[in-house]
Amino acid sequence: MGCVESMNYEILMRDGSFKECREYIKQHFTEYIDVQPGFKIFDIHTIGVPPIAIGLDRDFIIFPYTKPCHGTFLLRMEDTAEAARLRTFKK
Amino acid sequence: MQRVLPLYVSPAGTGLRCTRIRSVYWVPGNPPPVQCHEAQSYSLWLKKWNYTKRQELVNLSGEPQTSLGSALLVLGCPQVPVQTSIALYLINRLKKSGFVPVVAGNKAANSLLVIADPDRHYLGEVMDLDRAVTMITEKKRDFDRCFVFIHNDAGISYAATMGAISKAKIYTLVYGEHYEDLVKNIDFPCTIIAAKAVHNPLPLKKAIEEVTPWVA
Repeated sequence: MGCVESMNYEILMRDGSFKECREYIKQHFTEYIDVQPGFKIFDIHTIGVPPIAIGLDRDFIIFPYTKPCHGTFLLRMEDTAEAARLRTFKK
Repeated sequence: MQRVLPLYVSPAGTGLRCTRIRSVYWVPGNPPPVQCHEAQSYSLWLKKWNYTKRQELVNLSGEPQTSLGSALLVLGCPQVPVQTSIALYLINRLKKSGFVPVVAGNKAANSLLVIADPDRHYLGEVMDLDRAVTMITEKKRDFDRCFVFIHNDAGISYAATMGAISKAKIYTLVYGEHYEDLVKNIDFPCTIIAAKAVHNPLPLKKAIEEVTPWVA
């Protein structure tokens, strides 16, 4: 896995600011982890203002994805193995 | 003099198609013939080699100098016209001060620069922004200075990311119609250079000259 375009994703928020995405995750998901920029999810290095919140909902991962021209998208993807890996980073 | 038989030559990094040339006469000590996959013509490559050597060895006063380090220019979305102009200006100033500038942007932002400077009089290395982030994160590469072009929220995200993953000194170039709102959202350590510049690059150029980020 590498390119987000080739994955099966759902957009929860588009053209939002980074701050709005972080607040959305913290308000709507009880389970989340804070990571630093550059942290790898699905072989993608996360971009954002630290700390970056990543939401977890069963096997779904909710994370911000930034593109220079389109701002930050909040994506929701299902992956059991990746969700389990991310849960190991919970403090 | 040595005759080197058919090879492919390239002005490195241009991404232009290969040209097969019949033969090259090479005098040891002169620019060496190169063999690689992306090529245009030997004469262009030679021109670039000579130019690079001149840039590497001579500063404004004509005295030899060594490189002060590398500088990464992180381009944002090219929808605000001043970005391309200021990027070329900054590359020129950095080169004259002894820095080796490297540009990282998306396809459109990079193409605007590459097409405007086909013989690479100003541009040096140009890379994809995602690739630059990956290389810095994986500690395969880093820079001494990093200039991030910001005219939207995504620009701030990229600047904060560079501040977190790179050891470079961060400069944020904030411009566009809403530059003041963007400046308020920058809460990480960096030198902010800001001006209301959309079509006319002069206000931003002036702000950069006040900071002189190319001074060691």
